Amino acid sequence: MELKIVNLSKTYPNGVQALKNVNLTIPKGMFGLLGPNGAGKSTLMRTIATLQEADNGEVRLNDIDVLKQKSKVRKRLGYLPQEFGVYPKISAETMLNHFAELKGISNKGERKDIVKALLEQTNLYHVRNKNISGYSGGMKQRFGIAQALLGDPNLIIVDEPTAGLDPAERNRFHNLLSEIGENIIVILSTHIVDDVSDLCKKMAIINQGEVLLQGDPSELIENIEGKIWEKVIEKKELESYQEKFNIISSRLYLGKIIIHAFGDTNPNSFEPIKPNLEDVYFSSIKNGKKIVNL
Amino acid sequence: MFFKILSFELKYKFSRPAVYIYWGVLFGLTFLIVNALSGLVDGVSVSIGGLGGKVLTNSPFVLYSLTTGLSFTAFILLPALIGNSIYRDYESNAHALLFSYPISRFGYLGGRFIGGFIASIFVFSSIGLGIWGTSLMPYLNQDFFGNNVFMAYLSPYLSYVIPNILIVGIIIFSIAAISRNLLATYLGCIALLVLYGIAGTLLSDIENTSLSSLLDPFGGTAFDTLTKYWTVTEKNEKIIPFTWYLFLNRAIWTSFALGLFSYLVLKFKFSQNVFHLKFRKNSRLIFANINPVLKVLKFKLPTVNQDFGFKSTLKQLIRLVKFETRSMIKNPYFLGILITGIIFVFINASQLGKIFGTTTYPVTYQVVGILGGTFSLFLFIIITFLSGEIVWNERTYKVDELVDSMPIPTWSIYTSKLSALLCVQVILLSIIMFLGIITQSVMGYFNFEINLYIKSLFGIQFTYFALICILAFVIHVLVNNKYMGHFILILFYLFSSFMGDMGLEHNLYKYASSPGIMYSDMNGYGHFIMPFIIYRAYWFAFAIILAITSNSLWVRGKETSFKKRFSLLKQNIKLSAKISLIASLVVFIALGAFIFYNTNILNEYKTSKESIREIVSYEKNYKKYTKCIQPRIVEMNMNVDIYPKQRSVNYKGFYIIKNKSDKAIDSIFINYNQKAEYKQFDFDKKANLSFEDKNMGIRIYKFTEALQPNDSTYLRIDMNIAPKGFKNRDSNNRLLANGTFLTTGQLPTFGYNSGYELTNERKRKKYNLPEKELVAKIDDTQALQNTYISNDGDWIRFETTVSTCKDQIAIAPGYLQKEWTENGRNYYHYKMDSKILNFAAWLSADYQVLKDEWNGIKLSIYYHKGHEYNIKDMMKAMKKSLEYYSKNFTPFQFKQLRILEFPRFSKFAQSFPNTIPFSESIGFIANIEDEDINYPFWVTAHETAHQWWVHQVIGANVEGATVTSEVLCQYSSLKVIEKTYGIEKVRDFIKHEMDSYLSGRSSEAHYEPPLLYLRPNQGYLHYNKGSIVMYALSDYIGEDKLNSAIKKFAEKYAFQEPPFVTSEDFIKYIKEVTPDSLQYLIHDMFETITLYENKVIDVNYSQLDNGKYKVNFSVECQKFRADSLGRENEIAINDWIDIAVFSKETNDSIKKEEEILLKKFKVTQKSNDFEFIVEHKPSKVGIDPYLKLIDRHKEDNTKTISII
Repeated sequence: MELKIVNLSKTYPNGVQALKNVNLTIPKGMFGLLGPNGAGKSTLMRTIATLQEADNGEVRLNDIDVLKQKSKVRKRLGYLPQEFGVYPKISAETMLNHFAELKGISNKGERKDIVKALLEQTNLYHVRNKNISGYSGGMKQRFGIAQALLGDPNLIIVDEPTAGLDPAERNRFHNLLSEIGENIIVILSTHIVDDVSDLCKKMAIINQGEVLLQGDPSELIENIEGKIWEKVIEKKELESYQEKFNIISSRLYLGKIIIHAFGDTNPNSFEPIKPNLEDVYFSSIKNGKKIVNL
Repeated sequence: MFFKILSFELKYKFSRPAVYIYWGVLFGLTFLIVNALSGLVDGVSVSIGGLGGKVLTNSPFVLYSLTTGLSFTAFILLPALIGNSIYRDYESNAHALLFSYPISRFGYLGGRFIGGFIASIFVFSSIGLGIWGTSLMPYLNQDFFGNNVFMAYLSPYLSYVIPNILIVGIIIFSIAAISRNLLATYLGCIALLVLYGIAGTLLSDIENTSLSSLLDPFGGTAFDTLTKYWTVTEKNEKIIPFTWYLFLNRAIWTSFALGLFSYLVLKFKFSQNVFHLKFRKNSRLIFANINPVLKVLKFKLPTVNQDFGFKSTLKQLIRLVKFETRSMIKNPYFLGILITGIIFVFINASQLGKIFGTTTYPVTYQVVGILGGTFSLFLFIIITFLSGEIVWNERTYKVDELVDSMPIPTWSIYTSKLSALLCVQVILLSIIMFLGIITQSVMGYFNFEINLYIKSLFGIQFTYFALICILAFVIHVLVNNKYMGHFILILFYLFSSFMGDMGLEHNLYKYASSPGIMYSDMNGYGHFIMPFIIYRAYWFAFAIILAITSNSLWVRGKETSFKKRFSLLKQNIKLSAKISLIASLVVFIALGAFIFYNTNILNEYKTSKESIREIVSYEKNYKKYTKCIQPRIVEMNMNVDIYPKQRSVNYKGFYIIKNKSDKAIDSIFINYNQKAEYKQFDFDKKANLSFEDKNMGIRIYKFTEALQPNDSTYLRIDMNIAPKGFKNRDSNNRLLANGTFLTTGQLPTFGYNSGYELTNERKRKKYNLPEKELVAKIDDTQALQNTYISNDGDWIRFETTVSTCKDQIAIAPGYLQKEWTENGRNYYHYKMDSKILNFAAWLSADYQVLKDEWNGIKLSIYYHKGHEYNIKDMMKAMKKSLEYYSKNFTPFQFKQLRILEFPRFSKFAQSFPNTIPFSESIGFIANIEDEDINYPFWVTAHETAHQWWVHQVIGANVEGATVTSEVLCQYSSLKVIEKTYGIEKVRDFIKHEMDSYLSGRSSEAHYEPPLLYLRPNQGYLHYNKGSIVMYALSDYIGEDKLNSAIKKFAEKYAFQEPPFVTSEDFIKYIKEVTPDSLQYLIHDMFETITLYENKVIDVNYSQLDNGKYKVNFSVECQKFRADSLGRENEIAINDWIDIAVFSKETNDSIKKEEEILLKKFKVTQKSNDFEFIVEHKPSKVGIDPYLKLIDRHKEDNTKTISII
């Protein structure tokens, strides 16, 4: 089972080209889609989730044409959108039961069981009778994953699920995601590198509607081994460094700035360091597709 | 700070398109309405603020009504104009920043409010400019306009529009500041306007008009009170004055609003927290289990089956409908509207069927009519609101991405939401039914006709509102913008209520319409049912087409543009949908064709404009025959076979017509009912059909040999009338399954009938018709030859055999000669032994009969079973009337008198010779309490009087014709009431009559003549002024003297041959018995229009040593003469007027106020002082307290002595 995206393009009426000829093959297991805000991740997610049309291209889930056979896709889909709300004055249990209904679980007993199981697994059972509108961000996200799991889906899409969660909640959420299973496709879209490095065996980096990189995270890190260089500089020096070198990231550290540069050779008294996924991410964002050819 | 914020706000408002759009919309609306009011479209009877007749569109009065009326509607813009000034900050979250700046509360709130206030005044200025602009349009008939007077445009703004923008604006601004919610602001505004409507109902019940003028927050009542009795001249010429009450009212309410604003300024907090409309505290859950150590989870989920088969989808659908319904009825705004509606309905229920302040029994159709009718406004609001909410529900709460990606089929979502909307209607109508039953029980009425409730609420109302729901839903789906959807829906409501006025009258293109359906206890829903069902089916087929189409355009996912959705249509529409679409289309077209066949082929379809044209061409083509002398009917012998179940009637018989003139008649002009089928239409004398107009139903026959003076011949008729299919509207409501009521009106008549002519002067001018003489002059010798009820004959011999089906009784004027059954039908042969007027009726229904006798005269009341409530009173009225009239006037000419109930499709009683058809709605179900005016009794007495004042003495067809009929009937019946119930009841009655006369003359379309020269259709004169004048006259000259004059008059003119009697003949008899000192009264009351302004200015009293009381008071009296358009001139006063003193202490046990002095004094000047010594402690004094003289301010005729 795999999800195949071929030459997918989408331009919004306001002229923004959200997807440019996207080609991706997503196998079973957890797939991380990493990209900065506005990269086109959500557009891609929504298109796969049958909520949006594409201008060109094709999306296939095995033999299903996702863009045309929407109802078939929806029967197998679990979707947690980037942003979602709930009806007012409704408890988690009622809401989940309603969603179970919408997912076609028509047997009342089965519905009850699965709702109970999901609430227990997501650790929401003790607050099942409370209005969801009073839930904290983390609880709401867990509720979101619970509804996505209704009806035994074999394609799950989670769009930016950890944005805004505190570290403990994020941890808990990762734990949940990691249990979803290896036998189905799970697409995790995020702008947080750790989400991917914690959970995903396959990934892609997307920016400005284009896929920059795809592959196994560890392989991708290996690819840039020996090409990432670090230096601590003064704030005022930053500009001249940026002009001279291929600086992929910079961050503050104790009032000074740590910069990372990308290159085959040490640019100028930089320290060589062991790259991580973040460096993969930043170097690909900075250098676009070029990095793929490395 | 204040000015900075104000100028910023103004710049903001005026730099955005919204104010200009509102301005334009309001200007356009005004333009359209003023065009409609000014005769742009024919057949339009738009009437706002008493416009019509000679009142000009840009007269101060109409300007005031129109400007205030439109601005009232436009208050709905205030949430956007003023509420937005503050709401906007919350919406954009700017308040978080803004509130941290050092601004003062007054600066912020005041600046924002005044900015919105000024913008609103700008927007509302479009109304006045719109009227002014329209008045300049060259294509409009300039007869509708007078000179534009600037003050007339300005005055409604100064006293109404601007203060009310301030008052309503502050309330809305406060709601917006507190709730920070646009919807709450809108609903607050709607609630305010609706509550105002409710208050209006309550205010109108307050007798004290000055109090209600002050209480009305908008100041409308002050204007209404002021102008209630204004005449044409006053409406056209008088600038609405800023009266003391108006000023006080504006001062009170403006200070109230300013107080509210100061309170808001004082209490307003620059805080982030939003006030939520909620019933329970919504506590936020705090997650306490902060444990960063992971628990290893093992997902074990039970296996489930996802079933998308048809059967389970259906079951799923039902559960979804429940879910959606529940979510709708939990909506707090919905509950708010519902509760407002219920309060409104209950207030209206107390007004059930009021006539003369007397209510009817709460029979089911009345209760359903009133409750359902008033609640329907709320149903419209609820449907508009909920349809938007339910279509947008997922998107509002951002659940859309979840739901849309789930495998539920779109049609399930669509159907469940639409069905839920319908379910809510069922719930609401069930609430109405429940409220109805409660209302009935509270009023002590326990005959709950559940069956009728269900038919009416669910068969009629629900099917209508279901169609509206579908439309509302479809519009919201298609438009895909909640507020635009609401706006389009409101436009649709407005458009469909004005469609008829724009000449779009066919129900085939009027969504959800039907030819109408009306229930009567006698006839049930009768023949209305079939066309009603066909029309409903037709529109449901259409609604289903809309629903299926819009189902495929349902927004699922993020592609919301109409273009995109339309391109997805093919992908979305399934085979089953296509099939249902085609099936609905077939049903829709087939039913449409069937309807068209019925309305336009079996029947003639005419728009109002076409009808007017027809009338015009009748006049243009045939007016020339006016002077042609026609033979007169002298005998009618007609066999009438009524087939109630088939709704068909056959007339077979003859007229004997006679040349009563002194010239030979060579041809005869006949108007005939062109909808009837004729088997025979022949003269015994040889005659040729020389002309026929089948469209208008006119034939001219030429006699081979002229009909010589005093010669006569037979006209033999055999005709059948049976409605074919159904019509677009106005079905035949006289030929019914139960309660048929036919008159001679169906039969052929002779001569050109000027009664058909168009009377509206401006329309006549438009069609190039000469000015119409509305009634013949009193000395018109040709007109004097005819009675005012028939041009074909006067006193005729009458005989008829009438038959009907076996379970009904058929009645016609005359004495029953024979009664038999033949072929399962009942036959009745009636014959008159003396001549009667050419005015007969045939009725048939399943009657119960109450029989009685008075002095050998047989009395009977034929009534519908279940309508027994007042028949005893009606019987009593017949007896008392016969007694009084035969004693004081002339003997009763018949040996029987019968009252016959007929269905409520017409609302009158009419006196035929010894036969009085009486509508079920004007007395049979009246609920008379002791303090009420017993109107079934009064109507009976009035109709009985017609046996004298029409069927003995009948006026000629000239000015003043009804003085000798209606005026005398009013007098006669008032006397019977006085003798039976006492003078107090008459005085109560006179109060109503005074009000009706004064409002009647205020809306006179042509001109008001003195009573003696009234036109036959001027009800406010012959009924209302007639009552007042005759009651006063009998008081001034004495009942006996007056009756003796009337008796002498009747004896002289009863059963006279032409020329017929006139009002001038009558007044001679009255003058004869009037003493010289009171002759001026006859001139004031009958020969001129005279009004008084009598009022008590001041009163005080003191107790004397001997225990008596001295009371001093001053009064003012003015007397006016009005011309035919109501222009008044004060004239010298030299009149006898009642002066009265009242006391509450004449009888210790009941502290009822009674007169202790009532005496006429001669008043010769404006200011007069009186001093009396009276036995009892005075409580009230009065001048003309019982309204014997016409006075526009009856409330100041008495003054209660306040206890100091």
